[in-house]
Amino acid sequence: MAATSVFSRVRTGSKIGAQYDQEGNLIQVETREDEEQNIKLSEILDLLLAAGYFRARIKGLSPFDKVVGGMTWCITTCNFDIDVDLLFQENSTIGQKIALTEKIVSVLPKMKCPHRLEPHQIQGLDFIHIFPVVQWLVKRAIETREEMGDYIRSYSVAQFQKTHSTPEDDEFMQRKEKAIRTVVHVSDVYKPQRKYKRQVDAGKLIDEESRVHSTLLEYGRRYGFSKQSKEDKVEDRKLSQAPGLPPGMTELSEEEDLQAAEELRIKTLMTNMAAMATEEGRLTASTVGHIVGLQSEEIKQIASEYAEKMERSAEDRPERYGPAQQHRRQMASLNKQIQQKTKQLEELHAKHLEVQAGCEEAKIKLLEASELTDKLERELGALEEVESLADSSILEKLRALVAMNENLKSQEQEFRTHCREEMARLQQGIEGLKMESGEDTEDEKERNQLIEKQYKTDRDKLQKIRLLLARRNREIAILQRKIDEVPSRAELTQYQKRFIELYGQVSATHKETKQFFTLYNTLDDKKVFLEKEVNLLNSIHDNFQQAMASSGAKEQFLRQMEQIVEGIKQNRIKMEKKKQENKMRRDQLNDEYLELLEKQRLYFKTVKDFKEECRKNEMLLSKLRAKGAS
Amino acid sequence: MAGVETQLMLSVGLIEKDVNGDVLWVWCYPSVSAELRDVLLSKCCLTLDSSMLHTFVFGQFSRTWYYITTVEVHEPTALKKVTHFSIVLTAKDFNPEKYAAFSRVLCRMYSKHGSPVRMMEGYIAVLTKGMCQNDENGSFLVKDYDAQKAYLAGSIKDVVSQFGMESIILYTALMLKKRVVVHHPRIEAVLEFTRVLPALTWHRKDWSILHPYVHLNERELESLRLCTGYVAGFVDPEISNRSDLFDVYVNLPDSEITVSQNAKEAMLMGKLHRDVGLLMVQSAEHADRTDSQVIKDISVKTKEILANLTSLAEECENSKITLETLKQRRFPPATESFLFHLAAAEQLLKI
Repeated sequence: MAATSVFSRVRTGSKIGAQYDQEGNLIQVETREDEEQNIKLSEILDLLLAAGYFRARIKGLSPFDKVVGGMTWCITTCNFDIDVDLLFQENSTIGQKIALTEKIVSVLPKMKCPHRLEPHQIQGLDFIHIFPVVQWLVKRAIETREEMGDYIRSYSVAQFQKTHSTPEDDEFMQRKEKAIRTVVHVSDVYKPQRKYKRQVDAGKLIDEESRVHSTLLEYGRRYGFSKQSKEDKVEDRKLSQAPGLPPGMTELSEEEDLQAAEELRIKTLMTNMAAMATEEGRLTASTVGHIVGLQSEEIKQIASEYAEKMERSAEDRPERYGPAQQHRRQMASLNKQIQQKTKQLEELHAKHLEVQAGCEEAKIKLLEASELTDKLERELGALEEVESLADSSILEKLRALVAMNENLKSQEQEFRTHCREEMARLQQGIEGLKMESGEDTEDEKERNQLIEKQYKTDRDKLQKIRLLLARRNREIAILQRKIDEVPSRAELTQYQKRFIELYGQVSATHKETKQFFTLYNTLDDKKVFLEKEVNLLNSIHDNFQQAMASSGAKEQFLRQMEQIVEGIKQNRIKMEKKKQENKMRRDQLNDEYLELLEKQRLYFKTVKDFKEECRKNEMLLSKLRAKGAS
Repeated sequence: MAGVETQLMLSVGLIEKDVNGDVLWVWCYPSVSAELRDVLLSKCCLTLDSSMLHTFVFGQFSRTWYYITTVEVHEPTALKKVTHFSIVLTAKDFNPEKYAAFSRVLCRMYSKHGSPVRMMEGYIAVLTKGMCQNDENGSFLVKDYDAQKAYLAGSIKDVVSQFGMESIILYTALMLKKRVVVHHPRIEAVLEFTRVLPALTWHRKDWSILHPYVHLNERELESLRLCTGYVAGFVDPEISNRSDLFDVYVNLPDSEITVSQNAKEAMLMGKLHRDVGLLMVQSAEHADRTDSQVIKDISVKTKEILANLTSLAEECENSKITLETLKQRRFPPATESFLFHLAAAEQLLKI
């Protein structure tokens, strides 16, 4: 991406800066601008379609084609000239496109478009910026169409009328002459007629209002109050000297005060007017004099008389004086409204007074409070002066401690009284609860007692049964232990095996011990003999020297020696005999042992045979049983 | 010296629930009026039917702040026949953290020894010295719990982020001393939300307008009506029908704010409000600004408005503004009405 280039915007639809990867495929560079542009393009096309430019739907056209075509179409719809060659070439160059777009852009300011657009933006398909312009154009186009719709329709009708005519038209043509004549006649009859003319020497009226007023009066129109100018009717009567209708028949308005003011004005104006020459001219002067003179009073009189008459005869003539009735009704309603408003005003007034009174009270209270604070501040100031003489830090501590002390004392007092109160309250509560529970009726009490008794008896029974159960359990335990003591067959064989083992061990140890004994005895004997021998040899050795000294001693010595030898030999023979005896006994015992071994072997063999036989027996029995069953 | 501060504590009370399910106001020091006692019993969650335990609730009644800590009795304990108990502390100042910590210490003492006497020793120690020993060889010090910290403890950022631009309605209501009512079925949510609202008018630092836990009974509503402007929290959904009690109604679970009909003209809002609202929202959205900084931002803006108003007042006689002076400035109608009412609230208006 040409991110560092000066022209950082990638123009959609152009392949400038396209990247290819290794395999030569185009890398789809997705920028956010691209997606937004597409969204905006679709919105633009929707707008154009909604406006009526259906070329936008054609799929084969390029976006530039659609957009530019749409914009020119909108501009032409708004009745602005745009000199654009609408025959598009499929592959116009950039220069041609720019020329097109420049023309479009030049028209936009003339149309007073609030959004600015550059030609290169359209050509570069910058839809984000094109969108507001298109939106505004479409709006303008629709507005113009609405405005021009009627005009165009009437134009087309006129064109149609030039050459053809419908049956209705023919009918109308026939009636036209007669209709025209009637209309003119009617308008003549009801034309305002000028009754007076302002005299030339009366001078010009300065302000517009009086000019207008005088012109209206010339034509006989009183401005303001009455539906019909009563005065000019009166004037007419006076002027024409004709027997006027009784006052009650004229339609007079009832607002006398306002009329008086009006009278004055009209007097001043009318003084300068003269009746038109077409009317009774010779009465001009007297008419004027009349007007200036007593007319107002007479009018008032007439008005009041008429008012009375009207009130009296209001029901008789309901329909003839419709407008007067309406007027009266209006008057009545206005009066009622006035009454209502005055009532509201009174109420508000009363409320206002109340609130003000409250405000005053609050102000008074505020004053009092502020006075109190002033007083306190003064006292505090005095106190501070006194305090400033003393040592401040100790004073502070002292103050704090004193305050604390006071506080705690007061709290203690409070607490005491409160405790008493609480005690009273709680005791009351207890009393209340007791009362509630004590208020049971007799029946309930009896029932309660019965229930209590039953409960007790049941509980005792439960105890006894529990004791019984315990005893039985103990007996069972004892019996069980006793039974356990009797050994079962498996236990017995185990015991037997164990006994045999132990016996074997014991016998082995016994044998060993016996062997040790015999060893000891033997060694002991051996020791004795060796001692004897040593003694003998010692004695011989001792006596040898003596013995050799004399012959008698020598012989004695020799005899002794021979005796010794004899003795030894005899000992030896004894020993040999003993040995023989032991040997014989040993052989005997050995034989016995062998015999017993044989017996044991025989016993084992018999047991094995017996087992075998038992097994066979079992097997046969089971076979028998099986056979018996089936 | 802890003397001055601890004069703020008024009393301590004890409520117990025994094995039979009966609740009783057992004991208190030094004393509690019968009215306040009834109110406290109704606020304590032991008297409610539901078995939900609210560990710590607080509220205000007739200028007295009460703090209730409820604890379930566990073994080993010297208390027989008691399943739960609550300790109630009443005081003149608003400082939930301090009283919560203190009552936890007292609860443990009571639970261990089973007699209020031992607990009273702790209470008197704090009353006289401002500190007391607790179980784990530590100590509870009153001076650790500053009033300023208590004011700043709530989270204004949560409030602004929950309501967005609508929080300007709350700001206006508080500036003009109107009556704001907040509802949520859970009391803890109501307490948490309402305690931070007076911080919007930081220049007044007035938390006595806060009544975070109110029931719909006559006594409490009477005491509420005595205040001209208040922020009241309700758990009872019936409050939404009582439009005579509020000018602004905040429905917390649905995050809706409604202004009642009779207050609509007083609460008109214009460009000035939009600016303040934007400031609030932006300040709260900023991730690394703490709650106190957000409050500071709002108070700076408030001070600007008030400085403007006082400068207007100084030009008039007696330093009081009248409607005519305001009209002379030709403010847009909403701003004019707001400034007029604000002057009334800040006592800058000529009566």
